[in-house]
Amino acid sequence: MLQTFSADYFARSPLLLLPVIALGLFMLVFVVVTLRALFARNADVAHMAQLPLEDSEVSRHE
Amino acid sequence: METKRITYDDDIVRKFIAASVLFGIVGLLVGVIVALQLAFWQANLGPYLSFGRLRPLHTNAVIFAFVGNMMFAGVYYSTQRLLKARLASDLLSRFHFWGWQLIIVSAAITLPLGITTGKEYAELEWPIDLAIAVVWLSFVTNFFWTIAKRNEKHLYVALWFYISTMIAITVLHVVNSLEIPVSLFKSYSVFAGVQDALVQWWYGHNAVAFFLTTPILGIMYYFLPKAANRPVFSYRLSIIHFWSLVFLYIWAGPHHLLNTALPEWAQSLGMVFSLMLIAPSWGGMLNGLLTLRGAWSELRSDPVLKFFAAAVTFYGMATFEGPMLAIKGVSALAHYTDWIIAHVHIGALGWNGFMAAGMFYWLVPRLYGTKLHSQAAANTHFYLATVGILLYAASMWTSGITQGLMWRAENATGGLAYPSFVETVIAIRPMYWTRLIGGSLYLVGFCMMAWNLVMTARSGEAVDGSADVVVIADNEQAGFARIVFASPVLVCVAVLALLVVVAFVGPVGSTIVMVIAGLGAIFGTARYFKTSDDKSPSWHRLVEGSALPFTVLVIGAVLIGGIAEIVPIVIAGNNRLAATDHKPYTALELEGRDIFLREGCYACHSQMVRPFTWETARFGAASTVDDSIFDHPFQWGSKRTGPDLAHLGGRYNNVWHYKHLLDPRELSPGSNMPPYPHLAQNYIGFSATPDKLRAMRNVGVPYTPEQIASAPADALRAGQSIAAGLKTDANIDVAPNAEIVALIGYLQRLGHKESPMAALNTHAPQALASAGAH
Repeated sequence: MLQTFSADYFARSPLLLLPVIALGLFMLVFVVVTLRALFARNADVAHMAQLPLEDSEVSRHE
Repeated sequence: METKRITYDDDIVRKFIAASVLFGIVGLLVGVIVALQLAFWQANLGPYLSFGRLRPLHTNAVIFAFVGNMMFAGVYYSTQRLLKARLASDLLSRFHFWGWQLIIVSAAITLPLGITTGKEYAELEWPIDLAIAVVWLSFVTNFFWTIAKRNEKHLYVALWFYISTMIAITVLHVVNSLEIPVSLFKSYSVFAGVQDALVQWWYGHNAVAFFLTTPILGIMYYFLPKAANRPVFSYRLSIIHFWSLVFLYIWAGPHHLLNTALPEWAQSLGMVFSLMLIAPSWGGMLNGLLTLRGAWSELRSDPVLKFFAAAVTFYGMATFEGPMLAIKGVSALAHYTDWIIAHVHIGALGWNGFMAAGMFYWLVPRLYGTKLHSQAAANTHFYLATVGILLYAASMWTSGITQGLMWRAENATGGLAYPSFVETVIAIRPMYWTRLIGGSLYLVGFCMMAWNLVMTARSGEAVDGSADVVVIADNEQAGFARIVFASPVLVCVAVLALLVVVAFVGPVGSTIVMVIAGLGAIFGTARYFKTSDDKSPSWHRLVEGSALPFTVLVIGAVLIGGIAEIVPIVIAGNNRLAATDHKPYTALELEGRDIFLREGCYACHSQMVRPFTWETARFGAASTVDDSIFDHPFQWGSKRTGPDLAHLGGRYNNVWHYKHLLDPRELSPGSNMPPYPHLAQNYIGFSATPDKLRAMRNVGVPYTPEQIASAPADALRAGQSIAAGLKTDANIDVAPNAEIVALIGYLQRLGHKESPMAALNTHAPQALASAGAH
């Protein structure tokens, strides 16, 4: 069935493989990134989240 | 551990803020003027200040001058602090600042002069395009150079968004600006028709994505925690938000071309990916709003938090409305109407404008070592702007839905209930006045902010931030190969390859291959997390801390969607070029088309009839790919303040066009189209016409050398025919080389496979001097 489906789909243009590849790549990256984010070390996450709050001092402009 | 003291370059931040506020006033003021022109046509004061020329000035000023300068200020301030490093080069920063302002001034001069490419949101001509590329690269170079000498190993998520902006905008600008110069101020896009439409909206949509969204999200992830004095709600969510957004956004461009002649598969991709965008967009929006947890009580008194909270809310509204509008059925109603104008202004005024205001109110007191001059004025600004946006959006929603419903309304016999297009223009005029009030309120609030910021600056003195930082050793940086050839990347590639193989094998084979791919994905993921428990840093942690591989991955994410959509269309379009029975524009028609572009007619008129009965009944047969196959650039348009022109040719006679261009209301009472009397007084020399045909030939239009050589004489001969007809039919005296004659020639060609005056073009060279031209 898949072969029939793909034959029909690609009959319009073999180049339609490009969007299929891109879509597949997105799904893979999405899954990997989501899993990675969920299982990231708490200490790392806390450190990263804290970065904007590490304030600087100010010095007078000359 | 070695430590050192650094002083940040905050002077460049002050400069960009000042430029943003100044050009914000200009951009908003021009917006109010063009809003007035739509409600009150008499506000079109001469050719240089007509709606068609001012509208691109408004859009360019707001996007690239106001938001652009605001974005640079936010990026420079936050980047230095997140990387714990001063900007790498003061020289590059100043070059970037003054170069960008020079580009803005160039735009402000050239656009009213009618010097334009005719591509929406990319109207600036090729010398300015080159300048943009150079100045933008100076920004990118300075940014990555600063990353290279940073004193913080990890790249905070705001920096990821900035990196994606730099990569994507570079690619988008270069590809969409590919054009063949004809002269210093004239060029033609290398793409035509459907190809150009896809490239243009791939650019146009992603300019929204990567110029107006991702850098502002980066700014949100930095400044919102600062203002709320608490870390972002979920850093994990920000990781998913980032990668999902950059992967999905690049695909969504075709939703601007739904129900057009664009191939169906590309439309479907655009629609599906636009709907998927809701997830990361709302993830980011909620992450921003929930960062304010525990700080809600401060919203009552703190204008900074007030603006940030409202900005993120408007972002949520716009990113819900956008995917809804990208559904083909909804687009059928909303496309070409003012609903789209409401949508983009919720984003520009609500999301971008409020983020800018919040950032300025937070930053300026700190950059001048003082307190905000007036909290009360800032709060008043907030309420004025909020009411302004609501009036704007509500009026344009009403206007857009009214337009969409009136265009498709049927009478008792099944015909069009409102056959005259101008009926819909008259019906929405009250909404145009309401929009004007809303926009004016927003401008007044913005001017209050400008005054407040100036008074704040004057009450203090310029101060630069400084910090003691720990210098990181070079050996803490991960190598390129260790990241790119790591197991997560290799597993992804292998699984993907197996999925591709599925399409080419039989039922049993495909099942086996899919099982192998699934097992490979599971085992690959399990192995990755197992190694993550080891003492060595995990792959994603290395990626976060290593700028080069991270950038390469972002390039991949940004390019993949664009390539996958554009390459098939470009190849199919080139094949179509050889098969079409349409003929290129004649010399006079081409000159007339350039006048059409110069006057910005595409800002109000589309040239794309969609395959709906209410459209074909009103405008003629549904447009095909061939109809615009020689259009460099395409002119499908994005809004119908006036009717579609795809099949205008032959619908009215030349006298009608002449009178209509000079005084639209004489023939179409109630019209808000500007008059164009100067077209009858301006003349075309035709000396540059061969160069134009030659440039067109260089981008694939099949002009013969004979056609190019005889172009001036052919154009003049065609002009003489039109002028003689006007004289005979209505005793109108007009020169054969008047601009209005060429424009009539072009308008009469629209919808024809070849010129209705083709017989006049004998390609015999003839001296212009003997033909009586001005």
